Amino acid sequence: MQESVDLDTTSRFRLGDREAFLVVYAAYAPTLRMVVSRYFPRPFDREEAVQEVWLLIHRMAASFDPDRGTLSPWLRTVATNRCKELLRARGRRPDPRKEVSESDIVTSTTPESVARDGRVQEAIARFSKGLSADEAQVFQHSLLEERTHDEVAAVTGLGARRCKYLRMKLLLRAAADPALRQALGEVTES
Amino acid sequence: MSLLFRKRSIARAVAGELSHQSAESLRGHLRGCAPCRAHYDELMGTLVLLNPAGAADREKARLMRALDQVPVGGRQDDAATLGTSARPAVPPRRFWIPLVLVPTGAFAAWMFASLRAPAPTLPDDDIVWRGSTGDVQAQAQAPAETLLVYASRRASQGARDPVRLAGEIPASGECRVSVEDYVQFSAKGLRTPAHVTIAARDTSGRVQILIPRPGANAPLLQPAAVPKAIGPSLDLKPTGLVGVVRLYAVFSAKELDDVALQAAIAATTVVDAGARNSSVHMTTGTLLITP
Repeated sequence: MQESVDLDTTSRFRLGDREAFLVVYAAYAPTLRMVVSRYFPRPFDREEAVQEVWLLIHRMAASFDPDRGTLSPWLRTVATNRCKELLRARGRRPDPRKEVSESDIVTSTTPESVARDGRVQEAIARFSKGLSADEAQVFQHSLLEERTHDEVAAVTGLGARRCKYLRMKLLLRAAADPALRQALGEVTES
Repeated sequence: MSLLFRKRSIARAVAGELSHQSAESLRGHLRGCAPCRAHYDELMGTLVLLNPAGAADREKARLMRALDQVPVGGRQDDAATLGTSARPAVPPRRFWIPLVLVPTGAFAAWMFASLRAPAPTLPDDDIVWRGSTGDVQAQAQAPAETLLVYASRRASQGARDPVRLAGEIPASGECRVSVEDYVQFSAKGLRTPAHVTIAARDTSGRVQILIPRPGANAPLLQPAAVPKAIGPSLDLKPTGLVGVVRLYAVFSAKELDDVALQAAIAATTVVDAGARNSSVHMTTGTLLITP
């Protein structure tokens, strides 16, 4: 993997500089999220583990030695070890099949993932068709595009409170939708 | 049950409408509650499915909030202060829940049981509820008087071995003694003062009166809480009784003469453990006298 953080940023990262840390985070967050996802497929566990990993990286930044290697493998090693520790802390044995190789991370788009994404989009489109006009707008702007309630209200002409209510309602409806649940299951299991 | 109370909070947390403090408090609960965590996963999974980029934004915002709590220039090695912990947080204890639910549940169970359970009925005459009318009647009809048979083996030079309880009639049904024994009879359970006569009938049908001794009056026993001795001890050897002997203890309000006693014994069959009429009570059992 090509190193995407320059030496100066790396040096400041080691010294605990917040700005450098954010640069490293921006560069490696997707990679580490993928590493953590291999160990923790469930959203809550994954969020907790990702948080733990990055806090640990923040604490251990000074221990990174650029003479011994680049930042990327060091980050992945820290993430992997922390995930295993978390699994052990929960009384679970880390699955050796979950070891993440370089190829697992680089090739993020596989034929399987493309097909899966296609099925997800199809399920979302089908769910969208069953909504009223107001609901469809809120669904698009609030849930798919993650705009704020005020922004959605400005776009749709609905009240912000109405948008907030519809967002919650649509989220619960989407969670109960069979096609979306099936798509979610595929993503979680992958 | 916990999920019932927190469903809305979880939905609001997923929708990003909870304050940071409330969200972290809820996460603390989710770490220790599998049903709530599963519900969270379901909603958050759906949200991530709809907009994967939003998840990254929320993740970054949470991390930044945690890092803001780290002192400047410091790398505190205490994850707990940063809102995360490897160990599941202990959910806050709600003391009022058991205080409300336990009495309510107990009351509901009692109501259910009292409505559904049939009233206890007596399946047959063998079962009698304690204190019921049948029990009182049964106690009145039961042979209350009990004859206790103690024995002491004759030792050398006129001494005796320790006294032992040979049996309790009619409870034991059978007492085993030796012709070498001295036997002491006692009675308990008397309800009224009674003269006591103890007789034995051997296999030949001969009836021999053991108590009172010839020429003496039948001892009069008063009702007492403890067993009362019936006359002096009896040396079995001179009686000539050996083998299976039927023992009769006759309790009567008045002293019985021989005719009345023989009539009372004759009227009692072997299977009658306790015969009773208005004035004469009898307790009977087997005395096995070994040579």
